[in-house]
Amino acid sequence: MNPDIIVIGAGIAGLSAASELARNKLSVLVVDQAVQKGGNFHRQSTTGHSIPKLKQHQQQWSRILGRIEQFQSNITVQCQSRFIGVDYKGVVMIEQMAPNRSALYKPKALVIATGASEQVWPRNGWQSAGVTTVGAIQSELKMTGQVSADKIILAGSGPLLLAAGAQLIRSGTPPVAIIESSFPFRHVSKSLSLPFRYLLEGGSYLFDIIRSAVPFYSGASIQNIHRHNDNNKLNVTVQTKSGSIRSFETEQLGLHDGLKSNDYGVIDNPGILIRKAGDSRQIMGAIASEFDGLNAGSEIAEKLKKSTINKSFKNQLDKYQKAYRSIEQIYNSANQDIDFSLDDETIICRCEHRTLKDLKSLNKPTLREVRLLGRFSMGSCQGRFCANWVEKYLNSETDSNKKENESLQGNRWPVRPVSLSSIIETDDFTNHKN
Amino acid sequence: MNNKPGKPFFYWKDTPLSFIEGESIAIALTRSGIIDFGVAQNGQIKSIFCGIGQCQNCIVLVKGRGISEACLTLCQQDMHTQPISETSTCQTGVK
Repeated sequence: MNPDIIVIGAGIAGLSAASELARNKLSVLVVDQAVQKGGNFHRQSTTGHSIPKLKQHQQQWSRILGRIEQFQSNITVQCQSRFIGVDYKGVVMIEQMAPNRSALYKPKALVIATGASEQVWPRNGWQSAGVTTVGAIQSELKMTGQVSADKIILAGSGPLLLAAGAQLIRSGTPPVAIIESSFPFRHVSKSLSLPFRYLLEGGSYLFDIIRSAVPFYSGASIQNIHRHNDNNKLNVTVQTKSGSIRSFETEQLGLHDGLKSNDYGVIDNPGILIRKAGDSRQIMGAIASEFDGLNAGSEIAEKLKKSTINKSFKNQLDKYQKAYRSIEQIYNSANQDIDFSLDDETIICRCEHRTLKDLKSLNKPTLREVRLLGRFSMGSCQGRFCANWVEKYLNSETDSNKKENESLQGNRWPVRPVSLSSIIETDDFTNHKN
Repeated sequence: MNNKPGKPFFYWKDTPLSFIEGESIAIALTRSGIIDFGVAQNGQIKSIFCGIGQCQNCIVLVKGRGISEACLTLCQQDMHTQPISETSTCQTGVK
């Protein structure tokens, strides 16, 4: 069974693209590495326990599922399976997890709908156990309806801090504090010009946070994280907007400094049509991602089947993408000045345990030298959590050797670590006719 | 640790730990007070970081499956799990 189209990611954009492709009588295989479809935003409970969801989110998920059911004869969703790569002949490798084996397909098009990676800037001590992304906390909440830690601090910048804060409150474990490095509440007029759906969502989060009296520090940032090995507690040192230093004790610290497209594995000369959709194309949020997925499906169907493009998808996409840009501007101050004045011993690359001192010692490196000599962006996360910071750091050095448009992100396959046993046990479907 | 009779359990370094049906290895370990999943050869502590299968920081060894992301792998009855650091780097995981 060689599908017409392979969609990577069973989240908002991937499933929306799949339903639109299937509506145009194309056979679609959707793969996702998680145990259930939903992606990060609509991650489903695996234990039967969950946190209350906002009505508009429930409605979106039902809408997406409804479309999938309507065209289910043309759609296969395969979870616990992941994208390993696509080669220049257009052969796509998908690894099935447990038992490990893989399959080769040659579809007519590939849709990359792998969402976002969280951006987390390095901080002194961020490599300690107990320090996670804010997304990891949300993932636990959505899968189990609760969190294991009794005391959680959320820090960094972005609307996700408010969303996760409100979700923690609803699960019965309000965060100890929310430490936001920008000043989102200084942009009142911009905030009020957002579409109603966003106002409603933001308002409900704020309402919960204010009602639960969770301390919210804006213009504050973490200076140091220290884990006490005897009691597993983290000591977090925070500089407030007035410049004073405060110290907090917590079990878990969730960090989040924005989102970045998770678009690994798209090679320059693929043998097939490749289309990114949703956050993996450009960070656009949940509402726009649905329209981007539908639009991507519609555009691919037009190319392959000469069907008519549904223009309403693009119009809605533009509206909500624009709204998302406004939200980014509300939080933008944090993204503009990243603190490069870190201690030399601060770990920059977690995977390879490389410090700022290691980066400085490279002395005007080219990006190739940063990778091969410095080992930055070469670890098993493939640079998802250091490449962006390292590039920004090199750009801040006026005499840097970094060329315009050059990127630390590698796009060769495999796009993630893959076991040899999966490569040995391979089913080749590339010659199968549909 | 919090292992009670009748509850499903899995093993972490030969210690039985209870889990709730549908829980990932990462969440079950954390709930049992284990937030440190071992140390990589370069000194990085293995633990939950991204929670969604992107960072590889929570990899553990699962008997019969090899190196697996603890956040993506659901616990199963009698599953044997252990830190990757307690094995040689070329071992595939079947002990």
